[in-house]
Amino acid sequence: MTRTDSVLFELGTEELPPRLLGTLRDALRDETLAGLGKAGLIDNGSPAATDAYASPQHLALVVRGVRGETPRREERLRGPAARVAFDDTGAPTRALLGFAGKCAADDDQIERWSRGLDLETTDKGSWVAFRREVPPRPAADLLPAVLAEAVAALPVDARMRWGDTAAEFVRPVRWVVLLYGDEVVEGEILGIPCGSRSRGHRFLNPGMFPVPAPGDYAEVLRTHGVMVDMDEREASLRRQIADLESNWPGGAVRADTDPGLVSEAVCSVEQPHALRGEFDRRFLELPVEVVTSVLRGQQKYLPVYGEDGLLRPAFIAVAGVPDASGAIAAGCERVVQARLQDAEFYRQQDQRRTLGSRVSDLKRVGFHRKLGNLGDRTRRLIALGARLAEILEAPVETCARAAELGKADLTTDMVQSFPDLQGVTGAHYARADGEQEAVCVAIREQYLPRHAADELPQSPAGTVLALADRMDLLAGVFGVAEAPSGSRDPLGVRRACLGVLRMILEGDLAVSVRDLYILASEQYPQPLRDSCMDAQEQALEYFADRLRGHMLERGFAADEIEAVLETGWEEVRHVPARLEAVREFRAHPEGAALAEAHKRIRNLLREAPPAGGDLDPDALQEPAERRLSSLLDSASGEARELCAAGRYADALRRLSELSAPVAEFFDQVLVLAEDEKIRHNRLRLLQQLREAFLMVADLSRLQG
Amino acid sequence: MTLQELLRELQEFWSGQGCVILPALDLPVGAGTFHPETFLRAIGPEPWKCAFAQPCRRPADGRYGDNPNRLQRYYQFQVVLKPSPDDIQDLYLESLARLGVALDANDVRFVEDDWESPTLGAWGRGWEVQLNGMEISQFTYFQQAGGRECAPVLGEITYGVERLGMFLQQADNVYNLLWRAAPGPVTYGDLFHRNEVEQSEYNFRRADTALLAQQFDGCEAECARLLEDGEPLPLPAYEQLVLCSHAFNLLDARHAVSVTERQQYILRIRALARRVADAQYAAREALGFPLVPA
Repeated sequence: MTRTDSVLFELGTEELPPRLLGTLRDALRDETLAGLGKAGLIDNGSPAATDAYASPQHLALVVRGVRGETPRREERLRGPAARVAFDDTGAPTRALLGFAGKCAADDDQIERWSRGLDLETTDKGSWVAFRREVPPRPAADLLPAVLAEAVAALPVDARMRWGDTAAEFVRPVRWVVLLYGDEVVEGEILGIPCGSRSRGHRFLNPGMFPVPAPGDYAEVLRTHGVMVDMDEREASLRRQIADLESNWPGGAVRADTDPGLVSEAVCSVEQPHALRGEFDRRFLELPVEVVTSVLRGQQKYLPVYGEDGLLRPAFIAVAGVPDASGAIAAGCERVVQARLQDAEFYRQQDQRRTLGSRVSDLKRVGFHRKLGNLGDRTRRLIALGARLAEILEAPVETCARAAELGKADLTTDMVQSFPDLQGVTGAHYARADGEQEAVCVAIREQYLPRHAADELPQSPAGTVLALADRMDLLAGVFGVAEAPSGSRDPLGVRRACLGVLRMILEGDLAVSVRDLYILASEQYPQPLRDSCMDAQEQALEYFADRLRGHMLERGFAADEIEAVLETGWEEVRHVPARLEAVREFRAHPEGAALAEAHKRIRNLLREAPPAGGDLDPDALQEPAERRLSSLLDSASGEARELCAAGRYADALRRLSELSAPVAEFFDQVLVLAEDEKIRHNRLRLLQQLREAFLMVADLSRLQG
Repeated sequence: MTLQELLRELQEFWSGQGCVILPALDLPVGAGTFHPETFLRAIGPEPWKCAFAQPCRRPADGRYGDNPNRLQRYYQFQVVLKPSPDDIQDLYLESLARLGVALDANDVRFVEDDWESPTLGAWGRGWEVQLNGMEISQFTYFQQAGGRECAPVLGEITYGVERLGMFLQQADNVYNLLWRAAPGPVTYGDLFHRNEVEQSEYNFRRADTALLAQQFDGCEAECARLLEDGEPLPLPAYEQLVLCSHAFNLLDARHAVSVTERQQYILRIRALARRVADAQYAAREALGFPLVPA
């Protein structure tokens, strides 16, 4: 029974980027388990046999049950085919001798081969085979290479160098611990010799100390001020936050424990210490988004809300050492105060003019070198907004005013300093200027949704502005042939597209994407306008791709999506219902047979397209074709009405009642009759049948 | 600790670490990185250790002397360590301790911040150092300078002198900082408030943009010319680049450049930086890289 024991591996680094900590921890574990398995030191390594740790300066892994040596095993090498191993005289051939040399086989072995022994035989033939025992190798010999490979395989795209070495990692590596049981494993990782000593908390327990054995790791580090277990650090931080919340002076509060902020805090310290801070109440007069942007965005502090849901002039910060004297909290407060003071200053400066007075400044702000400046853009958005307002029945004057003021806040000091507050800032300033509330709301909403899971504009004018903004961008970008490619999308075209699709789908907007594109193109001056129009198909194809992706994410199958998109998708709002109809159809017992029939029909029509003209009922001879024709008439009529009412599933159900008559038709009727008139008539009938279904989808696209 | 004492302490500390203590560059620059003792030393294989105080000009940051935190000219204490030593972080922390920062009672944090200078074609990996939430230093391992890989890597530590001063003096307003105490107190405001007011007025309202644009073009041409001749002169050429950069910063503060033009100016300076870097490398190579230990 081979000895097994635990391995401890620790990389001691300079402060690692917080957002990478979790990934590095898990990847180190996965890569190491894979490497140990490949080396024969574990079988089917499972995360359950590991403890993975990460803190800003410690990336570590303990693996239990690692063999002290690889199992003894037999290696079998295959040589030349048996029939070419020896020549007619019975002497070994050069091929055999070469093989024997490679294996260091002795004469006895060659003699055995000559007698037909030690061959490997399959139904394809026989080969000379050499068996040897691979002796076990000690873990200590293999571990350094396994871990070096695991480190090299970590998913880091941005490595750096330091000092005078060739080593590369996320941040400089300063020490390495590698233990098997309680013994140091001799070796080097990234040029640093493996040892048994780790380092304590930079400020509270500086200096190095030995780790006696892998099982002691977490505990020993804890006594030296480092909480290496990420989950433990997070739990500790959350407890501290909850404590502060319930013991808050003046009454319990609720902190914004946004997972991203908490995670970043957890990954920035070796031991978390939550502390309370305050700022001058007057800053609550600033737009709430400005305050939270300073607290969360700039300082990574947690805003705090009262039970009434209103922001308090306070925050929770996380330090890496205890704040015994309150000096840390005081320092944090000072910084927050300074930043809020800046924001207050910007607002004062900004509000010396109205938002409206800034519109003429927009001509000095660039948008795109081929598409003009923001002044040009604003003019286009006003015009486009007016057209969209008509179509979507939104208040025309509100849309016009909102479009006029929409980009004005980009010239303000506030937005220059807080770029992600565009729109929000304009809304606040517009409100202060006495603009209509609906205009202010629209100015804020024009940038929604800002990302995939974000809210959509709620107001009609906001929707109009959001659509206009994106379509103007899309038409322009395609017009100047700067469509995004795979990884490069500097203008956010993909996001803009997805935003448009979401708004149409979730708002059930009665607009065609093509119409939107054309309207947007029409606002550009010539010759741009022509270029945009010329790029129509390309732009629509880009939209279609985004729509495909969106529907795949919603769980529809690729062939279902093709079946629907094939017959037209520009009225995007109908697409989900049509997809549902197809999916339901598919689950139906007749589904498969009808889909097959449609494939057949499509192929027939492609090979032998009917001549023009209407179906001639008198030319219908067979009972089966007459029956199909009359049933089709009534079914398609009803289906058409159902489709017009958006009831696509019902329409398909109704049309599916033709399943038996269609089968009968194919059974009894020869479509490609000799007589030209009859043949074309039958093909026309099939075409009518196909077209009826095409109102919903092209079922011939369904696989299996 | 007055600012005068602070500067002296930092100088002494780093001198003790083997750094050559140098004077500031006598040209307007936006950061200590632009000093030839940083940028030019980052190029090539030769080691170097130096430190210096450097006034830095950022015209767009002017606030007419009204903002208690923001200045269009401030002081950096720049430390250059090439190759970056293994204990570089510990040395830095020791310097803070020497200044009187209690490291176990304050929150000193290395916050991920990879610095980049698009004009110098330089970038590195490192952190901004925060002290109780306030940025007091930039800490960078240079990976590239002038478009060339840095090997060995130059470690750069840049202290924000006023920031550090405000922490040590527990001041809320930069102008109240004591520059020196005895024999009579002299504050930061006594020394520099008027400069802030006048320079802000100049930067934002009075600077002659046509002249600045001309200056940029002229210095750019001169830099290129000094690198083209049979015997290129990287050092004077680099000074022309520095002047270009400052002219650009002034144009930017005056809002005299559009977004596109801004990008163009940056690329033009970067092109010069690459050429200076190449010429510098060639010059040192011709000398046999004398500072590389045998």
